[in-house]
Formats: sequence, structure tokens, C-alpha cells
Amino acid sequence: MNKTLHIKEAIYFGLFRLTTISVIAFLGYILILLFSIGGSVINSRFLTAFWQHRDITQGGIFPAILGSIYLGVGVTLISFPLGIGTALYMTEYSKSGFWQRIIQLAIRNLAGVPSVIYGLFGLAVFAQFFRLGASLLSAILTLSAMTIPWIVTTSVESLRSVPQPFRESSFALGATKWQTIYRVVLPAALPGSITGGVIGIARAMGETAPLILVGATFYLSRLPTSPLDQFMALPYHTFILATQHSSPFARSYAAATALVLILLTFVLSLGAILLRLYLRARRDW
Amino acid sequence: MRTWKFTKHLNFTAERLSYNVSRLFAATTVLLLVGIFLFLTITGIGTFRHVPFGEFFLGTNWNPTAYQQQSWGILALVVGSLIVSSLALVFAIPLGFAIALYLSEVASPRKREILKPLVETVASVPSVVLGLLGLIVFAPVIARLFHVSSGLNALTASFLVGIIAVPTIASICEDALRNVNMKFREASMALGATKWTTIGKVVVPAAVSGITAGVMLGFGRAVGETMIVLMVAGNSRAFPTSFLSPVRPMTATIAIDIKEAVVGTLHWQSLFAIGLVLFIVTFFLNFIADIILHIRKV
Amino acid sequence: MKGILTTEKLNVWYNGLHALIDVSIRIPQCKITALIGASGSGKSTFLRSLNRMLDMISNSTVQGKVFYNSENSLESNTDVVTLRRAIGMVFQNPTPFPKSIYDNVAYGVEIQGTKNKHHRFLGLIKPTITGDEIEHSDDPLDRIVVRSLQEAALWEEVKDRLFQSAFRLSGGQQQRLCIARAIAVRPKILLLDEPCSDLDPLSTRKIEELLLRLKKNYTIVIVTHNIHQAKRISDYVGFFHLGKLIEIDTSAKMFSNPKNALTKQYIQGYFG
Repeated sequence: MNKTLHIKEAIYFGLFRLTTISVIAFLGYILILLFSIGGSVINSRFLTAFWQHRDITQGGIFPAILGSIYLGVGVTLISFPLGIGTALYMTEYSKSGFWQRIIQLAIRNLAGVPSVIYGLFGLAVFAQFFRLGASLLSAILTLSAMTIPWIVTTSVESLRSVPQPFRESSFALGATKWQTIYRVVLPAALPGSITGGVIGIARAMGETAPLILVGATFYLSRLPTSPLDQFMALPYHTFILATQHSSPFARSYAAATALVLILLTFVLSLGAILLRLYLRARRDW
Repeated sequence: MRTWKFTKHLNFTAERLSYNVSRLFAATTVLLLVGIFLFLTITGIGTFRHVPFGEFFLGTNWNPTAYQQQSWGILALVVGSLIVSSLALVFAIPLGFAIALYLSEVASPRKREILKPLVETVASVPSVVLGLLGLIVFAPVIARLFHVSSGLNALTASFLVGIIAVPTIASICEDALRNVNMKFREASMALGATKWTTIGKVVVPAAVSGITAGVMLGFGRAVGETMIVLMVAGNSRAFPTSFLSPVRPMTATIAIDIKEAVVGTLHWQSLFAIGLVLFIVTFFLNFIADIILHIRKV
Repeated sequence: MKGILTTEKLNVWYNGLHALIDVSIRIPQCKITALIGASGSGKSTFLRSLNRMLDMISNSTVQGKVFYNSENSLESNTDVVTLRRAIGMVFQNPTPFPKSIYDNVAYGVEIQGTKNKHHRFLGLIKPTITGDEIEHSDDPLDRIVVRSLQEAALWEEVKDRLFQSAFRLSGGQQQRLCIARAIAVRPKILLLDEPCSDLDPLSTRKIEELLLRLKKNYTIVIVTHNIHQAKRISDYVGFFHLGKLIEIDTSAKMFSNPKNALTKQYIQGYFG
């Protein structure tokens, strides 16, 4: 009886391990597939030239790459301060359990709102109401709204992991609240918060639905020079190439664009994860 | 008798500033949630001045751009969402739960530290990429397998949506399993039970509420998925008859129609109304899941 | 006996539990006062009420008066920050900051405005200055750090690794670091909450010798579980039991012939 149970256990555990490995391996599978479909398209011209509407084999996706980078930077500039500030309030300043719960509820729910809804919101509020139109700024604000809950969550986790004795010792030495936060708590929490946040930024850069709604474009004759300009972005470009383009090369170009996009987000995500593991291992406490 | 709150040493500008700024930022997040709800409602509610509730929710014909008689029934769209999401769960729950069990009960702490973030990276895959692969690779496979002309249907979509939902389910279920008190496990093992029996008879039952929450949130993730269904689910407004039918879930409808709808028209408003339905559904799922998870922690 | 720190009918409630009952005490200046008693007798609570650290516990209620320099520090308009600079505290577990040894000691002084000249690039690059250079430096912060580490009998052990992480030190060294950190701001009073309970006997001895030297310039109040420690170093002993201050007297009297029967029982080890 015992032996069959042990065999059963080994099989099941092996199955679970296999499942986990398979799901992770799927990531590699995606890369392989993309590479096989679109890898031949990628060359230096593809990455640095402008998009050619009539014959796509003559053009490149540089404006889309730049647009995505602008989006990433913009979202970082807005969502990090708002996210970390909110997290600070929740863990260090807020005295009332009630407000903490409300904010936490809001954060959890915001994290579960579908991306297309954020798109609607961005369209109605930023593009229409604030008359920002189909611009970089609208998209940045919309994607920031999506990313803030994520940053708050990782930052709160990071702040809460800072041991209480650090704060106590600081207060006992006659430091004020802000001094304690600025000199002890934040330096200890920031690495975790930032590495977590970068993953959120990577996700924001991969989002398409909000861009469809707020209005990225498929073809630009010149690069955006101000936040109010129209822009191209990698996810949207991939989408249009995949579904709405008539050229026979569209599919492979879509795969190539997707490959660039996924490499960008993977590098960010995996880099952040590795950095996080490294910092955790090095941590004194 | 005086009750002590932490003395606010707020005499300096830095103190006051940092307190108020962080409070402002925190308020912004709450306002964001409220704002989303408000904007959806304000814009969407106008729909119901022209379209009766019954027709909207129970009508099976969605045709806002018809030349003569437009119809505003979202039932086909809702059912489309439901089919894709439910099927997605059929794929995602076993996979996600197996991963959760592995990470929480079997894997060594070191393996877990590396593998868990990797599983979460799967959730970071841009859904447009999955949609693209669905179009190019998976749809033809499904078409051949089931002898249909096109593989763009609910089944293909749900497979890919399932993959995207796996990390959510895995993560929350794993947390739920890990939160089960060590003492339960130790007591069971001390009685001579194997690890497998302990997991099956002690740990999992104790984690049931957390697991349920994980499934709910996974379902929410699936319902909210847009790009995959947009690219792969077939885009038919007809009422789906089987899981091989092409469908157009609510999310896809919004993304498709938004280009054609003129601001302020009934079409425009109705899209926001659909958005409101989506918002309420996911809010509800999140709210309940949050309660379940919170009760556990207490 | 003139007290630098006195309390008058001090009462503390935690969540409805009456943790400290009508405690009136006079802490003598420049002496070591040991507070002894069983677990839960209120000693730590009492200690924390002296420098307003009870503020950090959300469900505590305090009633009564605590006089430092003839002012009641429990008033709501008390400048808590200044109070804590005059009354320092060392905790049971060594709690250095995740910073270098130098930065730990310098912390209390830095927050009062003195600039730390060794911070470059947000502290990411370690300064290469040697211990000897710092010892002979003119910089005010350097001098304070050196002095505090010397007073805490730690200087020789750390002078060549001042900018390494404080966590690389042993437990006993970390605790002496915490003491150095506390005395760097030159408080008048030093409160210690069972500082040696986590340490080995050798480290404990070092710290006890340190305290005996420090009492020349600082008033020391030490909560201790260890009656022998109290015997070794204290001038005055206060015995707490179930929230009340049962008795306080000179160390000699308390250990040879205490007035209260309960005190006698505790000291003789009948309970604890």
C-alpha cells in the first residue's frame, strides 16, 4: 500500500514539475516561433528606417520603437512617483485602518480592470475631455493609470518588508517621520520597489487595447517631437500588420515587429527579476 | 485620560509636504477607480434612454451600424465572453493549480525563488504577440484538427486566453497553499501520512477559499482579455452555437466598434455601456475574491 | 536624592489591559538604575514611556506625569524630537541600520544638520579614507564618530572597516555599536531595554564594563532580566511586579535586606 502511494506521489509531483517547466518553456517556444516566421526580416534597416507604406519591404519600424520607448519613459515618470507616494502613505503615514482598506480595495480593483476599459477611460477623459487627442500624452496618462496599481502593490510589499526595528531606532534617536522615511526606510525599500516597478513598465509597453482606443497611428511621416504629437508604437503596429494589412509580407513583418517588442519587454522583465534576486541575496537583513 | 496618537512632528515644511503629497497621491488612486466608474456610467447610461434594458441585455442581435433597423442586443457578445473565459479556465485551472502545488509543496526554496518569477513572466507576454501566434500557428492547427475551414473561433481563443490566465491562478493559489499553517502539515506528517496525502487531505482543503479566489481572479483576467479574442476569436456577431463558433466577446466589440462610432452618438454611448457591464463584472469578481482572501488572513 | 527624571502616578493601558499602575519614581542622576522584575511586570513599558516611544504603539493610553528637567514630557505640545535627543534608547536585539558602521554612529548627529562628508554618489561608492585619517581629521562629524566609538570601546575593533556594513559585526559588537550610536548625540539619559539578553557572556561583560564607565557622564536606566547583572553594575534597583513599582532602593540594600517580602522572593529566585 505504501509503495503504490509513493509511486503515485512521485508521478504526480513529476507531473507538476513538468507542467511548471512547460509553461515556462512556452516563453522560449514563442521566441522560436516568432523567429522562424519573422526573423529574416530583421536587419539594421528594419530597426532604423521609417515605415514605407506602399512597399513595406523597403521600410522599417524605427518610429514604432521610438514611440514605445517614449511611452515607457513617460509612464515611468508618472506612475513611479504616484505609486511610491501612495505606497508610502499606506505604510508609513496612514493612521486609520479604514482608509488603508479603502485604498487597498481601490488598488486591487484597479489591477483587475480590463485594459480595454482603461482605454475607454483614457479616450473619454484624456483624449476627449482634456482635448489631448490621439497623442503620446493621452496614451502615457492612460497607461500610467494602468501601471500605478502594480507599482503600489510592489512598493507596499517592499516597504512592509523593511523591519520595524529600523524605524524604532531612528525615532529613538530623535529623527522625525520624514527623516526616518528618507534616510532609512526608502533606501531599504527602493531596490525592491524599483525592480518590481520595471516589470510593470514592461507590461505597459506591451499593451495594445488602450492604444487602439486612445489612438496610436500606423503610419507617421515624421517622429513625434512633443507629447501632443501622434505616435506609433510596437504593439499597435504588430496588431495592424497582423490583421489589417494586405501585403503578402505582412505576416512576417508582424512577427518581426512582435519579436522586437517581446525582446524589449523580456529584457526589461527578466533583467528586473535577475536584479531583484541579486539584490535580495546581497541584502544584510 | 488621553489616548495617544503618534505625535505629528509637523513643524517643518518637509514634514508637512511629504505627508500631504503622499496623501494626495493616495487619494488620486481612489479617485481613479471612482473616476473610471463615473465616466463609464455618465457616458454609457445615455444608452438606456433609447434602448430598453431588456433589448440591451437580452437581445441577441448586435448591429449598431445597420442601415435601417439597428439592434442593440449584447447577449451574443456576453455569451461569447462567457464561452471563451469558461473554456479558458478549463485549460488554466489544471495548469495553474499544478504549478501552484509544485511551487508551494514540492520545489525547494531556491528553485521556487527562480521559477516563480519566471511563471509570472508568462503573464508579461504582450497579448498581441499571443494573438499573432494564434493567427499564424494555432488557428490552422485547430482548423485541421476539427475539420473546419477557419481556426478563428472560441476554442482557439480560449486556449490562448487560458495561457495568459495561468500565472494569475498559479500565483494566488500558491499564496493560498503557502499560507496554510505549517503546523497542519507537521501534524499530518507526524501521524505517518505521506506528503501527497497531506497535501490532498490537509493542505488543499485548508486553502480552498484562497484557491477559489484565485479561480475567480483568473476568470476576471480571462473576461478582460482583449487582443487575443480580437485577433483569433472569429469576430462573428452571430449567436455562438458551439465552441467552434466564431465569437465576438464584449472586449473585442469595444475595440472594433470604437473606430466607427462617432462621439456622442448612441453607438458611442452603447460601447461605454458595454464597458460598464465589463467593469461591474470584474469589479464584482475582484471584490468577492478580496473578501475571501481577507477573511483568510484574519 | 535629586532626580533628573521623575514620574508621578504614571499609568499605562494597552488595549484595556492596565500595564502600569500608579508608578512614581525618581531616577537619580549619573547613576545606574536597574529595573528588575518578572516578564510582563511592566518594566519595558515603563522605560518606553520615558522617551515617548509608547506613541508608536497605537492602542496605548497614558495617564500621569513624566518630568524631565521639570517639564512634563507627556504634554501634547512637547517637542518629542528634542526629548529623544536628550533621552537615548538601546533595544534588546541589536538593531543597526543597513548602513556602514560610520553612518550608523553618525546618524543621530546627521539628522540634526551636520553634513556627512563621506557620502558620494548616493553612498554607492565606498570611501577609501583610512581609520587613522579619520582619527586625526578636523571634520566635526568625524570627531564625534571617533569619540563615540572610543567611548563604546569599539574603536580599535572597527577603525579599519568603518565603511563596511554594520551587519558584518558580531552580535556583541553590533550592540556596542548601537550604544555608540545612542551616545553620539550626547543624551543626558541612556535607557537600555535588556541589552545583553541576546549576547554571549563575554560580550555581556564588555557591555557591563562599558556602562560602568559611561555612568560618569550619563544617567543610565537599564531593564534587566538578570539579577546578577543588576547586582554587578547597578547603584539603585527598582523592582516591578504586575505593573506596580513595588520597591526602589540602593542596590546594596535591595540585595541584602529589601523591605518588601515580594522583592525578597524575586531576588531569591522563588519566581521569575
